[in-house]
Amino acid sequence: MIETIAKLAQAVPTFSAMERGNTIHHYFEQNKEAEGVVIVNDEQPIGILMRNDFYQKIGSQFGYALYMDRDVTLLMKSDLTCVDKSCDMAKLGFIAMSRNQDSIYDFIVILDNKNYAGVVNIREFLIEMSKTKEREIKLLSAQQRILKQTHETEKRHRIEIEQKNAAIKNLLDHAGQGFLFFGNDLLISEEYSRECDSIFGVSIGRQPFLEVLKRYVDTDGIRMMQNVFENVFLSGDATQNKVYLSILPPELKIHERYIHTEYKIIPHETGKSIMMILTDVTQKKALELKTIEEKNNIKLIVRAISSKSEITQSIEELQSFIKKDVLPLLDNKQSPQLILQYVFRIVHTMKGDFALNGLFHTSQGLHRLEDALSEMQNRIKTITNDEIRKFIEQIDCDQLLEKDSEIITEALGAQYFENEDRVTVSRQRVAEIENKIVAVFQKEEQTEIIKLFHSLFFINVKDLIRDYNDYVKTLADRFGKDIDDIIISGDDVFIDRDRYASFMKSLVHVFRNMADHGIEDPDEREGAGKSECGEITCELKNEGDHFLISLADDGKGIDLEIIQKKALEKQIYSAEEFATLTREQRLATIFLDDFSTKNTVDLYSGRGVGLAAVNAEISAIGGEIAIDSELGKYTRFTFVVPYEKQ
Amino acid sequence: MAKILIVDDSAVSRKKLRKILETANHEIIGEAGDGAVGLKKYQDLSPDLVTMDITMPDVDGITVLKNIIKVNPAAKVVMITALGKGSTILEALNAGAKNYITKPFANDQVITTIAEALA
Repeated sequence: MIETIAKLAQAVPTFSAMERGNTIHHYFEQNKEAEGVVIVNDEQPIGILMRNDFYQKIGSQFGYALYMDRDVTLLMKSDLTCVDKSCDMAKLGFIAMSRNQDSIYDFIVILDNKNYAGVVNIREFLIEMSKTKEREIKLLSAQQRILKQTHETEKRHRIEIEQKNAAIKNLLDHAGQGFLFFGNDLLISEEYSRECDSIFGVSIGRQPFLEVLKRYVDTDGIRMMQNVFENVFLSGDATQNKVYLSILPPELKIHERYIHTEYKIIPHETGKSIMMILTDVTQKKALELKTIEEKNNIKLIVRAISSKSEITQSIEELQSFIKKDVLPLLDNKQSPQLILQYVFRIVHTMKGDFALNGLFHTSQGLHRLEDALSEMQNRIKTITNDEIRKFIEQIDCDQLLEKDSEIITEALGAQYFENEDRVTVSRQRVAEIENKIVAVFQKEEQTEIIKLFHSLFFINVKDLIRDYNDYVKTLADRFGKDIDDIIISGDDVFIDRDRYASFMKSLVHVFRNMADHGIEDPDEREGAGKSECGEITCELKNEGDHFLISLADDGKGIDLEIIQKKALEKQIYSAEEFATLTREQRLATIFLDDFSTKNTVDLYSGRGVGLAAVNAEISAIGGEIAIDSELGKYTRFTFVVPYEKQ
Repeated sequence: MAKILIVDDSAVSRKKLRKILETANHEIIGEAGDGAVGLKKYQDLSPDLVTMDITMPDVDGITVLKNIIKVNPAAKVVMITALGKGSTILEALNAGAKNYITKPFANDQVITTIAEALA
């Protein structure tokens, strides 16, 4: 209660000490509500006189006579209670109630620097006190209510935060990846995902990051990490920080598991943390290694087919070197140093050769030999020829070659190494190997190796067509025509040359036809508004289970009228029959046996056999032939050629 | 877009890098086959960015880098490395290199790294 009594101060009349009781009585008569007066001497209060007290004294026996006409000082209470105006309520209350029983309700005089400055009415004081108390109680209640509310809100928020934390932790724990954080003090924070326990095998919270990694990274690596982290925490340049973090090793081996590592910067209000993401890639790696192994095996097989002589030569060189060439050197009393250098050089070269030829296991074995030789070179001062001899003698050639030989013979048969220079591969085996290539290699890698593989067994139709260029040129000369190289376009089509040999050979009749009947001589062409040089085109199209060959010339086309005349003449069709044929069917007449519009049977054409033969060949391999022509413009033969059914 | 100086002792590498950078519309204002020439050309041509091979005979890339930074502390140098040895790259970064490119060149990576360094 810091309030002072100032607000309670009342002003009551003062009387000097020399006044008579009469005056006071007069005052009290005139002022029925007045409760008391203060007696002062020169501003300073010397006593108080309360109404009750006054009348009590006056009313006593002889009181009237005693007091009425005499000094008021005889009536007054001189042991008055005075307080300074700066007195506070609490103190006043204490002072007031500490008085004796009959004085309790007396005025308390207020002094201002020892001078009278008013009184405090006790009754008023008590009422005021009660009011104050009431106010305080109300305030306290209100405060308590607010406190309670705040309390509950805080509790709610705390629960929310805990729930969110738990949700995030749950997420991280189930992500299957390890997450951990550390700030510039490099101490791993308590919050890390459960996977880290499984990866590290120990609890890592609050551990120094570099200490934990010391078990899996060498000293240089740790030093580098430290330097990188220092730079990242010092600098605010986000791009630069990313560059620094990119130097850190992306993979660690922890407790026999391969762990992929990633580092990210997490900014927050008071700076930044580095987050490390750990992913167990052991299985993935094992699979990758297995795939690489399979790919290498296939590469070896393909090479075994395509470069047998080189491979057998390499193998012979190795065997010869180990068993025959080296040991005599040791007898020669050459210095161990020279011998070691020589052996190392040869082994190194052979290692490269075997790798080039796809014999990777042998190459690796030779690499291990290299390491041993290198180690011996380090001891050059103490090494003896005897030691070198012993080393060479214990090299097992067959063991070096074992794995690769196994791969080859498993795919191509045991006779691979027995047959001198041929490689025999069954059709079925070819198909099997091709399937394996498709299964193991990705699309982009496939094309390269399939191309190589095909080239061993199959031939590109484009090459076969190209082979006809000389023949066409010869015919052109003979018939006085001007014809350039066949213009070949479209897909690369690879076919088994044996199976399609007859058909491809029969195309000679088509080219003959083009040079003889199709393409006009230069003058005729010029007259028809064409270039003097005739054009033969070949377009190839791969269409899944079959492919198309389109051979066309830009010559004078087929005259259907002549066809009709000839057909009727040779009694191939009757007039009515011919009338029912479609244009295509009519054109196709030229494929029929015995049909030829040439009169002379010459070396090149004339016999109606030519195109009929082509027809027979394409039918024999299950294909079709279509012909299209426009008089004066072009003739086109389109062959639908099926691939071999598996 | 930017004027670039290529420093590499391998003519083949310089040619390859030039080709890649030119497809991104950068202008190759100079080439150098060794560190000393590289430093001189830097001072003469003032390129926007320098690509610096780390392993070069005589004066190695990091030394040239330091000299260039001395001449111009704001110089943008991107190191080219075939070794991929972290500690060497770290040394280069600490000496002021902006970024690094590993050989063999991956076209998009080269273009992105150069763009980031120029930004």
